[in-house]
Amino acid sequence: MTVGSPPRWERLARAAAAAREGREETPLVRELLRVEVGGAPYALPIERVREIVRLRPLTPVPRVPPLVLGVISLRGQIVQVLDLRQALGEAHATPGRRARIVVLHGEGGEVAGLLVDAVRDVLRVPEADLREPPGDPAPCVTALCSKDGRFLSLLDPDQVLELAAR
Amino acid sequence: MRAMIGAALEELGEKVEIDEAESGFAALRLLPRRSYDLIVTDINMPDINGLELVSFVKRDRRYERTPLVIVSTEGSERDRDKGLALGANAYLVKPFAAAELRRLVLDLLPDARPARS
Amino acid sequence: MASRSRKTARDKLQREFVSEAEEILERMRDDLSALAEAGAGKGEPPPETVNRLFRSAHSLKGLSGMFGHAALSELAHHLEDVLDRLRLGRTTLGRDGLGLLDESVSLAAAGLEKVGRGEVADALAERIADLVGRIAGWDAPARASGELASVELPESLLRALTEYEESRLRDNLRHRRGLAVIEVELELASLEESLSELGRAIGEVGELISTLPSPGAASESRIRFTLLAASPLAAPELAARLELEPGAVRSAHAAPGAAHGRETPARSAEPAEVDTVTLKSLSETVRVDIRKLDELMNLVGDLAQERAALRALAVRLAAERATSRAATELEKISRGLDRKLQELQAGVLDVRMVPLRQVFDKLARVVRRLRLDLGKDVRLELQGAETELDKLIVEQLVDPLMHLVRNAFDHAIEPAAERARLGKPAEGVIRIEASQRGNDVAISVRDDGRGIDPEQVRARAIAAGLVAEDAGLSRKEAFGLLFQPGFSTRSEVTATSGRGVGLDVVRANVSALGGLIDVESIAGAGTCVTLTLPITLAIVQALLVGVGSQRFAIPLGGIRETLLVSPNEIERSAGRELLNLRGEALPVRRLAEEFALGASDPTQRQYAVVLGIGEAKLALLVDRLEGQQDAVIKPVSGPVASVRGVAGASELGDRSAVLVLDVSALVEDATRRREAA
Repeated sequence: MTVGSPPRWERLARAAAAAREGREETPLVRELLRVEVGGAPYALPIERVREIVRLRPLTPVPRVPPLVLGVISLRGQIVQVLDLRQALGEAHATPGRRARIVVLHGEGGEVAGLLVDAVRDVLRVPEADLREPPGDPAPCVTALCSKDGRFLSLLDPDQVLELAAR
Repeated sequence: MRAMIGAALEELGEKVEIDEAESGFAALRLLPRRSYDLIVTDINMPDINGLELVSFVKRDRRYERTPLVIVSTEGSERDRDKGLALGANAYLVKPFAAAELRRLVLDLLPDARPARS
Repeated sequence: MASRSRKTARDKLQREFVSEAEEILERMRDDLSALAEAGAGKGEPPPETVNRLFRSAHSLKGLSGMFGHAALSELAHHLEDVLDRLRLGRTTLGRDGLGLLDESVSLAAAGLEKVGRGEVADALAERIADLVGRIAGWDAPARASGELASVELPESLLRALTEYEESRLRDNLRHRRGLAVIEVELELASLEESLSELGRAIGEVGELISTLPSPGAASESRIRFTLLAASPLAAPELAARLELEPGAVRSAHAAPGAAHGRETPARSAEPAEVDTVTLKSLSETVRVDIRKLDELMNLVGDLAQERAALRALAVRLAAERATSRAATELEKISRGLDRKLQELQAGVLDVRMVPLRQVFDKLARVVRRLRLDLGKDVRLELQGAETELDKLIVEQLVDPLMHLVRNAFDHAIEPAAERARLGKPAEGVIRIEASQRGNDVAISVRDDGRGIDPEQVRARAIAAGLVAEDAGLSRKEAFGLLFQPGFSTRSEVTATSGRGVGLDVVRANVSALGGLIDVESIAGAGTCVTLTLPITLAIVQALLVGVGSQRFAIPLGGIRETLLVSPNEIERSAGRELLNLRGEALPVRRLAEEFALGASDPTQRQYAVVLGIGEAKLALLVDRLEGQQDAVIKPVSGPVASVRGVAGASELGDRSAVLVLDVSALVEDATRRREAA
């Protein structure tokens, strides 16, 4: 599934309009990519997802945080791949048959991949159904929603990427 | 952009049916298939430009009465004037608030049963 | 929390706005110079330049308006108007007009600078209002219009033309081509293919300007299209070429040159000029979109991968008896392909080479502005503008060179009074020289200012805690300290140099390009900063080496030689490992240790890859040599900043990624440590 990011011009325009009105941008219905990590479901904003690819040979990179598993070649573009398991505090595990790399756009336009155990589907969740995560939320979790009787944490890709940069 | 417009219009309720076309040519193909109550189109499209679509719609007896809204960036007056001169009913400038679009639609369609291309 | 993040979001937006607006103004400045050169007022200004100016003003208007900078938007709006009239041929520019445009762009730039500093551009509102008034009151000489009046085009077609289509229309008219209106009826289902086929056919004999869907098709599954095409062919001929009925193609404007043609008298005065303009545009050079160049480069890189795969296949086939004869054939063909590919590679790389002139021009502009802003008298001398480098490198050079020039201007060159006291000529000199040295280009930035006193550097370093009080510091080490982050011999922040962009940023930039930077200075006399850069980044030949289970690529350009060494050939002295290479002592580094890959078997022989940049050399120990490979070094995308010693990565034939080593970083690290030892 491939989703492009809106042209820079459009993003600037929306952000400017939102800034003028003093509110954060709020689309009405969020489209979220549902993935599985360590047996639990998590969500990622679909507009940040560039593509999803199967696992492929990962080249390890020296002197990087353990969160960075290595780099892959994506049609010639070399992209870092981060371990979402580790980012979420799960133990390391060998990726299974359903493991995928979710390729995201960062805020500055850079591209990075997240290794997940499985990719399930795309959910359409009304903005109103996204709640504040309770108590002391884990890093990178910006909201909580429920689907099919389970809670899903919505992750902020930029915060995940930042975890690696530290 | 299409997704945003779609989402904004869906808020109008279940009486709204929306058809999306990803290009001018696709729109040309969709038009004869259903009787649409409203058309919303972008000016900047890769194949035929929005003005050409407006011109076609407003010159064709089958569609000339269908209300048509043009969407474009930065409110460039030239495109707006041309579009309006060609017969478009209304014009929205990006970025626009979803509420603005909804109000416009309700204005143009007293009976709020829009389908859109 | 929310308001803070909103503020930072706003700041970020501000910066994005400023940087986009600056780009637009930069383009406008270039285009205005082009207009001035083309002798505005005499004959036509080049249409593409005017169109670009118009679009720039339009973008600026929209951009400023959206971010709430009303005054700037207003100014841009008036600019847009003037340029629109110019573009549509309804007015000519003349010297006054050009002056107004120039002034507008400068004023806009001043306004932008205020915005960039967090002030409001509206502070310049008075000046802007005055200028706007002058532009509005500018009595622009009208030009005999009527180009479009003399053609018979369906109103519906004309009204739906975009500005680009309009300009193509006028351009074709100016080049005296005929216009034809073509009516076709196409199947809705295969619309794209039919139109694209038709467009292609028209493209062979002219230009397809516009396509307009029209009502009146024979059935629901078909649709009519009215096409506007320009072509020197007459209507019946065009119809024949496009395999359409004669009735489908109607002439809207006969190409003059046919005996009959309705030309307005004003046009007959133009012919000679128009012809010369046409001839000139057929000159020797072609402007290339950098994106197309990049695509070509990628393609060549991919071809090189395929070539490698082919070669590997040939080797495999040769090993099997059944296919060995065919394999020899394949080998021969593959070698021929090899040669052609190398030529292609060299050709594409050559197209990417651009002279440093464009950077030098920018630097000259910067110095001119600095002279005005700071009131210092400084002369900029430039030599070697024709030296060529890969376009990508040149583009990345602008920033570091600008920083160096600004630093020299701001910090190094003394104010006039001081210079007089020191007996220096009142006018300071900054001299930039570029020259090619083999596979590298050396660019030096020299000034005759204060120079750097190693003692002062040492004092600052001690104060900053970077160096122990009693530590001795050699000259080279002192200058090396200048590259530490946050280090600056002046503690003030000046308006022009901002936070005194440290040399560490400059070095990072240069390193990213695979280059080296060096500083030499004599206190009181001046400073010279030298950048050594590889000529091209793009495709390099690399040696694949293996360490443990991993592979790395080393660009051949940095390799002097490779040799097999046994453990006893490596000597130890003062805690360092050295290799005796024909009498020369080379520092030794083990790749396995550098990258924490685990120790290799100490009894095994290893390969020493001798790396060298300039005079500095290093022997890098690896386990295996795995052959040569073409590599296109690409930056690694992702949140983690690049690792020192890794220049990027490349895709191998088997679609896996291999890390490419940064030879200059490795050599630098080794030689620096050696000096400190």
